Amino acid sequence: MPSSREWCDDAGAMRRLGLALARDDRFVCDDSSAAALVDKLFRQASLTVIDDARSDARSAKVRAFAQFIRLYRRHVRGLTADDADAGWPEAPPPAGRANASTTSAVRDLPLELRETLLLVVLAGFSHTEAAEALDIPLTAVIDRLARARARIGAHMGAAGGTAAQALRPNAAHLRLVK
Amino acid sequence: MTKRFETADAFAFVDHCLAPVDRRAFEARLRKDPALRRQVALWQSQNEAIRAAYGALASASAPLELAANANENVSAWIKSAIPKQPGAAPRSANGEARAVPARAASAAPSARFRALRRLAAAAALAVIVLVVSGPGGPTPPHDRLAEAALAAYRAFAAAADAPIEFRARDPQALAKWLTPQFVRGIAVPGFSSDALTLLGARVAPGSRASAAFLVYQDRGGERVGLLIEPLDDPAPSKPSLRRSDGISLAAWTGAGYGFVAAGADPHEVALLTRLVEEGPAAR
Repeated sequence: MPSSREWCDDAGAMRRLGLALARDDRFVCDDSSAAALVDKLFRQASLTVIDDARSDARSAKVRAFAQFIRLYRRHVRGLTADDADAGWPEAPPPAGRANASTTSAVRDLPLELRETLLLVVLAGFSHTEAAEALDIPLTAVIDRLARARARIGAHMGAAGGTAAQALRPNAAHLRLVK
Repeated sequence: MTKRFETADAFAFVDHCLAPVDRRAFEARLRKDPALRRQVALWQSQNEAIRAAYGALASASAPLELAANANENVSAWIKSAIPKQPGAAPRSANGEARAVPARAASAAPSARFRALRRLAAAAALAVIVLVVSGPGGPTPPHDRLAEAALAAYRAFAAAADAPIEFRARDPQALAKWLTPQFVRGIAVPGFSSDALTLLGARVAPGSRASAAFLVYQDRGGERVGLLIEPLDDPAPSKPSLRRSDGISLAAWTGAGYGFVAAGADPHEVALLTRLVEEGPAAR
């Protein structure tokens, strides 16, 4: 079980990740609803840390985040259960938006890309830890990061930034696809 | 090396996942490849924008491996600057002993050398202090605690008919309900007083994580709230009183927790603060 200092840092990171993940403008459209949902999932995910007192801080952190993401996916799955196609279809790449921001670019990402990107960038997970937490191969993490970054680059480029377009943000993804 | 591995390396560099040796090698590659440098700069700016947008810039801008590298570099520098034995010959980069004049090798450390050693030690100490405590140092969490308590009081205690998640007049029963919901448990104040009656509690948002919000009632039916949040080993502090929007707040820290008493009547708040501070805790 991690020490209180370690867990306090991890808990803050988990809440930040959860708020960024949950506030998606599809199922959760305001900050207070996102905070309530995250609070609930956070409490449930915290139990995985309490239950296993033998594991070290790092693996406890990975397991707690993995549990949090699993719970969030279950929540989303429950919300989409009534839909005819209950899968998570990828939204089309964003086309020119007048007031696109970083948060809206992140919210437009499909869940699988969003959770991978936020886990690495916001929660500070290494690629290996992210693969472990998401239960996917490392190559899939790299692939998802490439796709997420390409989409964000395209989104921000569409918002008026010419630098992203000049740098061909899709290049990384295209290289991977080859 | 294939393009796929190049991309993986670039992502690992951007996300601080590379080992120090690989990182230095990648930095050397970056210096030679302007296109790669621009691409990496773009991804880094995306990362910074995401962290800034979600309020994680402060905690994520100094990754742990960066701190480790800084310490390693200082240690390496001190080791290279200070031979373990005064007479030991300094070594070149490839490990071969360099030729040292006989007089210098046998002489005791000079005053200049001692000054350099003191300077290196001071620099190492400063780096360690900065890395451990951060640029601003620890700040009392009273303000954030008070904000959380104010929000909880308005939502859950300001109205006499506001619902209470778990009703209990017995502090032991309340502690039993609250403890499993917090990683470190909650020390529920176990005082008994005629002036304030325990009504129950709920879990409410705290300043950094979840907190317990206990609700008491005075003889006149007015409610007084007590927010208890487990904190990361805060320094004990005396209650600091403030008033915001007609609500009195007393915030203090101690025993690993942050406490805030909140209520419309400052006398009730002061009474609750005194009772909590002086009374026993039920677990």
